[in-house]
Amino acid sequence: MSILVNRDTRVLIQGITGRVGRAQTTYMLAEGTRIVAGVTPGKGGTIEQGVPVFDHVGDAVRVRGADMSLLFVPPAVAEDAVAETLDAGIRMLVLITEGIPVHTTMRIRRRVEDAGARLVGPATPGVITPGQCKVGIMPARFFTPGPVGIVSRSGTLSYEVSAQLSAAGIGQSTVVGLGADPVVGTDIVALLQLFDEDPETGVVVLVGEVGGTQEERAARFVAQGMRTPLLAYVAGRCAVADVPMGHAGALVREGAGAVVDKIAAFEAAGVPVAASPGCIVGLVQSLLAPDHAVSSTHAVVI
Amino acid sequence: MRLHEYEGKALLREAGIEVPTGEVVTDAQEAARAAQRLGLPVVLKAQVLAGGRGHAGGIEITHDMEQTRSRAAAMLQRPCRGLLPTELLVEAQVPIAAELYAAVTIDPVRGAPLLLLGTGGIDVEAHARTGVAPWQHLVNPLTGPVDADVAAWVGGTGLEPAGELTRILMCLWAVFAAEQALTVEVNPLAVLTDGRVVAVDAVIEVDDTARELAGLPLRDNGGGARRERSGGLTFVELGGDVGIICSGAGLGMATMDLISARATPANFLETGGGITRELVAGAMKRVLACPGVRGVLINVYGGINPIHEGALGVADVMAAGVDVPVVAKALGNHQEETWEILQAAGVTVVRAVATETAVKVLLDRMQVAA
Repeated sequence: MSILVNRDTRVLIQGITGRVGRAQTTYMLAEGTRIVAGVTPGKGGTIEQGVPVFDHVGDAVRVRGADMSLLFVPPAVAEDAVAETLDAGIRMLVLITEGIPVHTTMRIRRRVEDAGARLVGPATPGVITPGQCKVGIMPARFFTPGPVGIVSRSGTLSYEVSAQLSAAGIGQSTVVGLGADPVVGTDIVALLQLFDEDPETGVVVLVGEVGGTQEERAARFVAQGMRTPLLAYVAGRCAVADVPMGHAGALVREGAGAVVDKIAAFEAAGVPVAASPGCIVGLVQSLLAPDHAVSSTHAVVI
Repeated sequence: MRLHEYEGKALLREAGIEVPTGEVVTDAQEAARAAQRLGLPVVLKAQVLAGGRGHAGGIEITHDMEQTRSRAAAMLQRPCRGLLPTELLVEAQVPIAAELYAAVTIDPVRGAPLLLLGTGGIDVEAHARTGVAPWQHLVNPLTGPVDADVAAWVGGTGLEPAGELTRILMCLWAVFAAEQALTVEVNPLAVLTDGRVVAVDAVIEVDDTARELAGLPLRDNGGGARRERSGGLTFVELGGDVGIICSGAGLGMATMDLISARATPANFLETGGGITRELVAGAMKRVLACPGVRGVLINVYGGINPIHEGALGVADVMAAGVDVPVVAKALGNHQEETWEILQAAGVTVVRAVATETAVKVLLDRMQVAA
């Protein structure tokens, strides 16, 4: 199994004929992703790499039966695009777009919540269930099927961690990019919950970074009884206070959000913390080892 | 981007909130003249973008012209919270009966704006830690706050004058929405002896992303490391000797952390997801221009980024002559093509997956002790 996406997921690509959308569609099709339709206003009726293109999301859903949408749209039209997607009945969205103002993201998130839908992103590499479905921009060569669930605040670090695990012969159930902005559609705890309910995820790796409270809340979720073992890495030990290091959400402010506090929260909750990305493989191996079987940790329910 | 207190107060005044009368000055003589016009005693306030000025000598009350002149001169020469003020705000002192705290901010967990109201003063952060936190009212970002709901909520706090506080919170919301702010905070919001309610301070931070999208200029916060942004790229100069070019902020920070175990980064540079030949050439030049840089580590992934195009930008700069070692780890889509271009340009290509390996190769080449 997996979370969020699998081989049956019928994917719609919004912005399929743009420079990025077109290139990424090629990569996703190569991974076997079932891309059933694309949308680009004004390009309806054309075919992109064998995928029928529509002017409107509603038409794409009606004709092709898409059940999730991946959006490559400029920041200025992201809210309208999300609203159109929700109106068309799609309830799972992945928003890749970087550079959406936080006020816009708050409105987008509220629209998604009001519709009872789920949004991953914005500013996310997307979601991949290796060997089944890639809905995002991650380079597929680093991902292999297996038991490790990954939730990452950073896109490229999730590639690095997956690549190292794959090189060690350890695959991934699903890898999710949380999104790098201060406000994102799906909270980290919701993703941990999904992984915890997935019988095929044996270990979850949380790739965190400086700023925000995601890591602290994840630690609290573990303390409250997450059954699947979690381990963490937190980037940004050397981040400069008050200077956002590339991600708008990666910011130490008034002493809050520092890496040391996050590591302390994990350690207090019994979550092993990797000193560097290269240490993650060894920790995963020890948690997956037979004497640390998933069944025994599942017994520790508070 | 944070606004100076006087800039924030101008926005509050336009929105219908009373602020003390005041003038912005840049030297001690001007401060004394302003004090005479405003009427003594006055409050001198260092315009630095930092909290806790009251405890750091950045706020002083003066009672005569000479005292105003000497205090202003001292304040303009003394860093406050590590920042040297170039401007002072001189304000008429107001007779305060009670200090409140009012703000509009963003709750990142619930992903929605939050109105805050509570008792105020310079120790409000300490209050928050000891449990006397402000009352909260979550706002639907699609509709904004509803006047009647805010009035009912303010009524429930027991804070007075409730009607005026409700009006002020709606004004703060108007500033928050119009400026696409991350925070609009007034502390203290003073209830005067005559019952008027006046914003004695203003802390406003606006969303850099919104300003960039609207084509508005960004200003540095004035302290610590300088951050530069262009074409989706983020650059921060850090003063060490190991240059860094990374795609992705998390990877960039992880790389920086690994380098810091043995050496000091010269910079943080994150390309964003829009790599082009020109962008990477510009990044190389910017990093090589850091004073004292003795080596450069390029650590990029080809996901959304065409790293083979970026490699051409590296080669362009290498062709012009680079006299420090350049080590690259470039993986993902088009990695083989990228390696060929980089190797031909004289870059040491590390094919291992682990950033640890690439960092070790560069630091060894730079002869940094392990």
